[in-house]
Amino acid sequence: MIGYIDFLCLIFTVMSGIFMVRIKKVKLPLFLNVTKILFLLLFFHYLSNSLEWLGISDILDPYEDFIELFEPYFLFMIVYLFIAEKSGESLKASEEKYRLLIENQDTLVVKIDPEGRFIYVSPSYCKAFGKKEEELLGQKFLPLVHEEDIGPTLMEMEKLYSPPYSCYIEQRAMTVKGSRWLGWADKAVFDKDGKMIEIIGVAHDVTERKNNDNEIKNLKTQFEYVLGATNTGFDLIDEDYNVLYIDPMWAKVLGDYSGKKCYEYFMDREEPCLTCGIPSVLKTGNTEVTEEYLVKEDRHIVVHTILLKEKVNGKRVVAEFNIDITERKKKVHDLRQALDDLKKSRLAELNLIEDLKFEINEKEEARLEIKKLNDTLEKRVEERTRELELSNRELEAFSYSVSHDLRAPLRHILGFTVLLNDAVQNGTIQDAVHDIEKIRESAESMGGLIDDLLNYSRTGRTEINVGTVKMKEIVLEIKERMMNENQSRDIEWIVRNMPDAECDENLIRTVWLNIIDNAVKYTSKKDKAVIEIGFEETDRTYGYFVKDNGAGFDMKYSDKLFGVFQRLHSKNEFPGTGIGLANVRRIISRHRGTVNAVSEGEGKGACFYFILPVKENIK
Amino acid sequence: MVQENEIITFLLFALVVIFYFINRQKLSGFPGIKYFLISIVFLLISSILTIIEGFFFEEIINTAEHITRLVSTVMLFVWAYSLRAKKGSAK
Repeated sequence: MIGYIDFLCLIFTVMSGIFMVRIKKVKLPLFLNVTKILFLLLFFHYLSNSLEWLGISDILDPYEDFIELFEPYFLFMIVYLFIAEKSGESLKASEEKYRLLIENQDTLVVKIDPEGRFIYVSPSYCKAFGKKEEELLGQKFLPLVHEEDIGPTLMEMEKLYSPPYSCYIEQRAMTVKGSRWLGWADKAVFDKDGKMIEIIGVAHDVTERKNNDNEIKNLKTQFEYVLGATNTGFDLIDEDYNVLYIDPMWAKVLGDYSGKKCYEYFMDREEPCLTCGIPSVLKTGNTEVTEEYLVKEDRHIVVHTILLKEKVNGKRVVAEFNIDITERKKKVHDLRQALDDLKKSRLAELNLIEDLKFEINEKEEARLEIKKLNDTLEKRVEERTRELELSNRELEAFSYSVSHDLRAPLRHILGFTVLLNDAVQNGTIQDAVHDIEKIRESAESMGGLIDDLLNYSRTGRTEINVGTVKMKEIVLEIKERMMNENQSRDIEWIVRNMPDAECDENLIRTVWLNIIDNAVKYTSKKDKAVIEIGFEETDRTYGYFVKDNGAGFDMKYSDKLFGVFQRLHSKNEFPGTGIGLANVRRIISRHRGTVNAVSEGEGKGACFYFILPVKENIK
Repeated sequence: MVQENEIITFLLFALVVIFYFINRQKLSGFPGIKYFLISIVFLLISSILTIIEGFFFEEIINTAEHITRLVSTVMLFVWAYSLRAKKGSAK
């Protein structure tokens, strides 16, 4: 049983040892080595047990004592080494670091004699230039320097001959990594006689820093270019308002005010400006944008103030981006001015247009007025022409009638004058008296005609006084007068209601008198006369009429009814001068009305009516 | 009978275990330290059993001693295997 167990132990130990042997490199190699020793010990231990169990332990018999003796010693060694491993871990680690530092350090150390020949080169230097120490010793260092840096290097090394006998040179050299910048700190060593015996040079690869410097320089150049191109200035101001930095382009514009307080320089103030954005930025940390007017420079600027994260000399610092908007302000001002002028000009144009419109309207109204007046004038001319034509015709008729009617009594007078002359010569008194009587009658007749003509003439010249006339009252008055004058006659009067009219009362009374008198006269041969007086109204006119059942007339002579001395019946049949209706027409015409007469024929009565224009709608 | 080498072996294993418990935080990152420690503990038990087997129940304790040694070697094997496995994964 125990033999089996030990055999299994041997197998597991061997397998574990195989695994461990195959693991060549782990984090703690010493510890593993210790473990391997452990395995070896166990291996021997179990091997001896197993051999014993297999009955061939004799093989190890010579070593049994050794094994038993050294087994605890081995174990002691294991533990010792284990502890030593752990306690010495940090020391080994530092040793490893130191070794790595030595192996990988990039500090180059050389010694050269006053002629510039290598008398010592550090391994790092050899490694950097890919040369062996033997190759370099005794050689001059200058061939390894970039040709452009040889001059400055020699110039700088002149300082080694005067206190403090040291210099610092940055030069390019062609190393195995290519052209690199090396920063050399050189120190001269002198003997007791003051003679330079060697120069010790220590160098570091400063290529990265140089590149960074160049990059920063390029960035700065580009930054300043952008600032200049955008008319933007940049400065740094600490929390006490001291200007720490100002970019060169901005300094050209406003002057170099670095080291001064901004409010003193720009504003001639003794304390910060009220509109300054720096206090707010320092308090909140937020970026502020303010517009400021630089009194001293007469400039307007927009300032973007930003709080920087890093302090300078223990003070918080803000960066200001200043955009000069003076020109823009000026342009805006000019544009506003131009806009105002434009507005004024536009306003003036609008006013002018309004005036022109008003003038055009006035002219149009005047033109329409003139046209209206022309139309009215034309109408009036036509009207006057028509009136003149009518007047001419009347005048012709009048002349004819007057000459004709006045000639008749004159012929009678002349004729009877001849007869009177004969009667006087023949001595017949009775005939003479008769002739004289006829001459007198003719003269009276002529006188009556002349009186009527005078009345007719006055009718045409009398001034019209328009007023409201109660027509029915006038009609009733004339009716009464006619009834009194013709009491023997049987006349039926029919007087209807009629409205008042706007006309001359005296003249319209003459009209009514003539028409009603005609009706009475021309019904004298009727046993029973019927005279109807009434009124018919239209929208624009008053139509008054007088209708009778008298002699009537033939309508084909109706145009002669209203002529002067025109008569459709003989004087013997119906007396009269024939001037009454002429008067009627003249009066009605002067009232801008019309008069007319209709009849169904002789013996069938007649109807005279006259129409006056409406001035007011009287109902 | 107590043999000198058995006592020394016991003390050495005891020192290893004590050392581990003192430095267990530092050794916590050691690969498979759990299996290694178990193995050492069982070796410690085995050494104890080796010492006491000379006083009573010799056969039983001797058997137990060998069994504990077997467990210890198995744990060593597991530890060695785990190291190999970790190295393989690291590759």
